[in-house]
Amino acid sequence: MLRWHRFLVGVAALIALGPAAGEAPPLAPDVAVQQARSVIDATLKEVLQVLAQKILSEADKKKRIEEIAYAHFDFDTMSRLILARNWRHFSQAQRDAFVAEFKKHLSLTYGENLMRYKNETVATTSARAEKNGDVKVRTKIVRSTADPLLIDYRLRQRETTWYVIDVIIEGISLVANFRTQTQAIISDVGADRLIERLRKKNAERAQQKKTTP
Amino acid sequence: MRGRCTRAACASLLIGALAGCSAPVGPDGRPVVDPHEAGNRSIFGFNEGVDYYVLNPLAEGWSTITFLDLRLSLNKFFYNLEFLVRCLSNLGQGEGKQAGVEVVRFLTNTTVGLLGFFDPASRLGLQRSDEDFGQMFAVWGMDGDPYWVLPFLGPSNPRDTLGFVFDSIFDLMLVFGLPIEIVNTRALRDREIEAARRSALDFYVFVRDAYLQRREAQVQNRKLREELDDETQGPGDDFYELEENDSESVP
Repeated sequence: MLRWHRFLVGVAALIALGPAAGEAPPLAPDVAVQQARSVIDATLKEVLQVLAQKILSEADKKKRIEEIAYAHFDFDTMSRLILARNWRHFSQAQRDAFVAEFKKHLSLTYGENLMRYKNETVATTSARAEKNGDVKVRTKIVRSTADPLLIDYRLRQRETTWYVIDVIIEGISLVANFRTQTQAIISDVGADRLIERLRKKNAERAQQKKTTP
Repeated sequence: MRGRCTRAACASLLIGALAGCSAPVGPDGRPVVDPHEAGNRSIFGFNEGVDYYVLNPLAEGWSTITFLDLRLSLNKFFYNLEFLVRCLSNLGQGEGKQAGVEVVRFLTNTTVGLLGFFDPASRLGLQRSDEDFGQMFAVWGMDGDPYWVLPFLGPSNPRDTLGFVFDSIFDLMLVFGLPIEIVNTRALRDREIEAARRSALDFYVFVRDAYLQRREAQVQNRKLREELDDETQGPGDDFYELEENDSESVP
């Protein structure tokens, strides 16, 4: 109840202050934290509902989960964080291609991982504001077949909506891991070959091939 | 807690300074994470071959002749026998209370939990703390460079290799049980490993980075894992700063 109350106060404050040209005014930290957390709560609920529908085929479920991921991840920001210094050396066409392929990559990863979970419970456990205005929401998946899994989501606000900009699984940041991989490839063979490799990998994965060393 | 962390940080800085810039620096001025990459890659390739031709087939066979609940219980049984590792490395980090909890957990799970095949201790609220000697040495100020890959054992570094030796000494598991433990663990982790291989652009770099990030997080976060405080896991704020654009083409 209190949560909703705070949320409404936040919304009222937003309207009263009148966001200038899409720029949201800085929110009080606890309002921001609450908003970001409710985004994750709602998303997890959506995903669980999809997974629980027995009439859907595995492919349909993947498709639905992909759509949910598309709606809540900020692929543009993630791509820029991944490419870091290399972003400015990419042409606009290369940037677009990278963002598009990364988007595919992430939803494939997200889909593949989620399909494995059966009879698991997942819930947000805490959330806090980071110094730069981002919010980190911590979730815990309790699994019957393994130890609990801690997944943190880092969110950033764009206009008035919160988007996921990183997923940190047991302390391993997906963006950082991908940055390390792409940096090595870019310095070895260049941007075009990186995009090509990502494209090939995505196509392979879509076909469900078993990997060989 | 905080005071001790600061001391540990100071100690590691001091030792780092004494060691005198031992980390090699690349042409771009940043430290090289993996100075032995070529050699590491060939050992990594060897390990992948061992996994593909030996370990994974064994794990698949194991999965067909056992049922999941047995594999999970065995996993708990092996974990229980490693309690001395967790207890002593907690003690070495000044975590007396956690060390005590590990002893109580062991006694509970070995008796009520039928030799550790079940884990009633967790249900009683006795939190496990996955410490090891590598983490203890890290808290003592030993740094983790250079990264290396060990045949059969995988990603490591001098500190964690030394830690592994101590872990093995204090593992109550009798040696003949080890093959079962390895195959059983591989069987339980099959889907995660397969998913990681699928998603990686360069599996070698993927594993190296995941290992480095995970160890760092484990060393940083010695507190109860669900508390979100200043010692939270993952990269710091600087990491999430966007590069300025010198191009006009981006909104």
